[in-house]
Amino acid sequence: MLLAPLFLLGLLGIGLPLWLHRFARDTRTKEPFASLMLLEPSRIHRSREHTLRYLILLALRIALLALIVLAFAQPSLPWRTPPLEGRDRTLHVIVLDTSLSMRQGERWTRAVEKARSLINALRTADQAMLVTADSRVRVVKGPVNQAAADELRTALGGLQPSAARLDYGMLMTSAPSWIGTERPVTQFHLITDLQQSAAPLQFADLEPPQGVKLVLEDVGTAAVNQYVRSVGVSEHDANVLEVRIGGAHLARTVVLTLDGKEKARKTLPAAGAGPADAGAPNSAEGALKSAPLAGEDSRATPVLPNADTRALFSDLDLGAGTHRVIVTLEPADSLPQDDPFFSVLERREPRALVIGANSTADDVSYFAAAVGALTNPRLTVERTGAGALTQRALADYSVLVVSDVGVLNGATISTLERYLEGGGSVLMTLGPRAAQRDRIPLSTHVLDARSLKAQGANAHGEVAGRVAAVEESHPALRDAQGWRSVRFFRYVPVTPLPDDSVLIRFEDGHPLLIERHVGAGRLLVLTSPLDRDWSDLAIHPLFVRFIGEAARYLTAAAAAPNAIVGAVLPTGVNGRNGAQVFDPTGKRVLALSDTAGQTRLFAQTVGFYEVRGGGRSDWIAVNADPRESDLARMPAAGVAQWNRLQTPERATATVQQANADAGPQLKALWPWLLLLAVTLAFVEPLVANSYLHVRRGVTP
Amino acid sequence: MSATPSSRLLTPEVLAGLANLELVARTAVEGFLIGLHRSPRFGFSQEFAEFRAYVEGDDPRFVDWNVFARTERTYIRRYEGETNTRLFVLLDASASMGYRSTSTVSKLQYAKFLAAALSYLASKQHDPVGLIVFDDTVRHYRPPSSRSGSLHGVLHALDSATAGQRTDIAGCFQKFREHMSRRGLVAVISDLYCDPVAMSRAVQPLAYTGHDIMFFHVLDPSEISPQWRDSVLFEDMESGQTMEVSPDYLEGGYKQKLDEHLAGVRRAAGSVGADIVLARTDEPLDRALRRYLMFRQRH
Repeated sequence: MLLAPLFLLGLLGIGLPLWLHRFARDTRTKEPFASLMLLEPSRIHRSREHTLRYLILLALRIALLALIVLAFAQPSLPWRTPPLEGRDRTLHVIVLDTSLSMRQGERWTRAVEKARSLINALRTADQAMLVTADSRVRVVKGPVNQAAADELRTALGGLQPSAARLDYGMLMTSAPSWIGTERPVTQFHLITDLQQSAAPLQFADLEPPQGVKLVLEDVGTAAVNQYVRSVGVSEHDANVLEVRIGGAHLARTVVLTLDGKEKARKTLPAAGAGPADAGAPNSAEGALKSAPLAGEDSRATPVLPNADTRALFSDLDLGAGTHRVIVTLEPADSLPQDDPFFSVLERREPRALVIGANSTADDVSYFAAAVGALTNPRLTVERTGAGALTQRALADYSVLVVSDVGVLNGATISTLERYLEGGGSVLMTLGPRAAQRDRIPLSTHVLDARSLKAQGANAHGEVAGRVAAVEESHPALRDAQGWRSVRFFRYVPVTPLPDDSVLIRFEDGHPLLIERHVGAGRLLVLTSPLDRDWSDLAIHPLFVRFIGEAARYLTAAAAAPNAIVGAVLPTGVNGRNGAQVFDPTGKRVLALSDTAGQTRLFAQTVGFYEVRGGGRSDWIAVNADPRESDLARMPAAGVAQWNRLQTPERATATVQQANADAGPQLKALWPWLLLLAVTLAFVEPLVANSYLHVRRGVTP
Repeated sequence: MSATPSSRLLTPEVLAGLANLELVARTAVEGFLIGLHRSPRFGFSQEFAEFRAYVEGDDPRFVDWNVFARTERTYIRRYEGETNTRLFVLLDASASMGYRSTSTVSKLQYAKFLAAALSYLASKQHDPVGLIVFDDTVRHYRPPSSRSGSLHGVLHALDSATAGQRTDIAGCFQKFREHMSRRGLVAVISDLYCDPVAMSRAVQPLAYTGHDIMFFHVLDPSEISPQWRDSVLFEDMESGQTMEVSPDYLEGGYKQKLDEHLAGVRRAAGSVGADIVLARTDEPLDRALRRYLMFRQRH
């Protein structure tokens, strides 16, 4: 039986070797000879041997063409499959949810029992495969026949839930790739806790593969959980650590450990006790405050049962350097793995550097005085001219203030760019020197017009712009009232970039203060200098407060790169920067020699990963995905809708099964024909070479 | 124990590797002469031949000045071979002479080696040497001369000879008479693909005018005994005509016709008193040179 008989037209191509052989006979290779005077034309009688070789070569070529054509025509033979395997075999895909939430209570025990019962229930003709699913899907075993069920049981005994997150959408959409397309009747047993947060954004992603029957094995129960959602430095005070606690409100103790030493602890109020007293004293060195989230009025709004609780640890006196912070909830609840939270905080030296055209200029003095007036944090202020900047180690400063960035030359600009991208903070102003450039250094802004916004300004009090809008919620502007009364005679009009935050805007729409992130650093750009000819900002009472808040904002401790389990670790390691990486247990997970070839490393366990390289150690905090700590279950309606997504059971039979029902299947022969053709293709040159060798042969 | 000539002399393949034709001629002839001195059968050149009174027309180089000093009589001292014979080398440079089968040298190359060796040998005897290169017409003519430097001219002319057009020996011999007014020795180096009778007829006038003629019949080994195992389509190098020939014919009929042709040209040569020697391009030059010296001794 031929599936594509039209390809048989290709057999006409057999005429080609026939013609070629005839042509070859007519076009014999000529041998030059001195003279034909003594020669006479002969009647050629080819020897039987040569004729045979000629015919063999011709037959080989014809057979090669015929085989290729037949392969394309896809001949098939009726093939009857064994009725037992074709009709009764079922593939059971046993998928165990190994996400963090499965560690809650007895969920994992129930899941293993369920899987074991499924394995025990396999029939003789059945097959089964064991799969785990969290942030990655792993086929642990299979598919194996029922006779090898012991292998499944052994593999099942070695499984444990991880700290990663499962997304049902990822699991279902990837299923066809690891189940395979050539499969018998398939039942997809998903043993899970039906966690609400595991549902995908698009419900359609839950649809099982075509022809696969989904069986949801629910091993979850209703449960409450409390966990630490985040830890960070308070926006209001660099010495205050803010801990956000999610989930249920339970009477538990928050324990703060800093660099391996317990620093503070506080007992949280239970649900129904109302918002915690903001001024409640702490039990140890720190002070704990419980307050509603930002934007909520703490006096009017009580803490809702499902809202986060915020706890503030003050007076921590974080010194310069990297700090490992662990916040733990005690005592352990039913899901103890999410009780600790790990964080790394970096704090730079409390030093500020003011850069200007020269270190004694008026604007440099203004800035130095304003920054020096700060009390919290108290900064040591140094001044320098732009020319002497490259002699300083900028990494020693927590903030740089640049007065008219146009005074910088190419080398100092490169130095500052590296400082910024490495996580530094810069406050800079634009002045007459910056306005002469096509592109503003550091911020890369482009001038809106070649002429300064100064044409209408004069010494009689006319102003070029007034402040129209101030983003007062920003930490740098929180305590700076009165921007609208500052007179700006001139300023440098720039066009904000797409990822800029315009904090203060003039009436004509041009920005006065822009926040921009460059690499890991922060940059505040003031489009007017302190020059009295440009504005009266320097003599306005607002100035000192603004500089103080801006410096406090810029010097606040920044959270170092953190990650969640299952995500790529931001090690910063690449082929150029070799390093070793150790996991929280101290085991080396990336050797120095592997750095060149492997730079992506997935976080597997919670804790602190250590990156050693370049003469220093960096820490990366890895936590469980907080969505796994939310144990809310999918609503029953949602589960029912998921069950309805799958195709009817009648349609679960695969094409192979349908063919088995209809009668004998067809066995494709084209692979064998193609194999034979390839073999002939190798033999043909050998025969042809032998034939041609004889034809050209002349012995001396 | 002396080595056999075949092992002592350089093969055409070796000669073909030498840089220039003069070196080829010198190497071939010097090696050949060394062999002669060791041979009891041949004497050459330095053996005293005659001693006679000087007559007008004799070359003054041969005057025995020692005798003249003692007796004030002028005598001529002659040695064997110093017979002052003019040598005309007629080189066939037709297209068929460019044939080469499996040997390193073509017939034309071999003929050039032979012509150079003959010229060098004659030059050593102080014989004037002339050269005519021809195919269907005379392509190059160099009159006989024994002056110093004439050998270089001959060798240069030989070196620049390339295989040209078709052969017309009979036609060319008509023209040779214009250039060879004085008698001498004529060495014809050719593959002699022509009618023997016509060749005899063309050579006859030269023989009648006193020229001693010697044919060097140059053939490739594949022409003498072709060995094709399969039928082959031959293309005539001169006419471009093709002909398919079976190996059976090459084994039988061709050899018979070749023998007849060789016998024919031998008869034609004999009819005009000429000598003929078959020179295979895979053999050293000594055989041809010996035949040349023997021929020269007779005349």
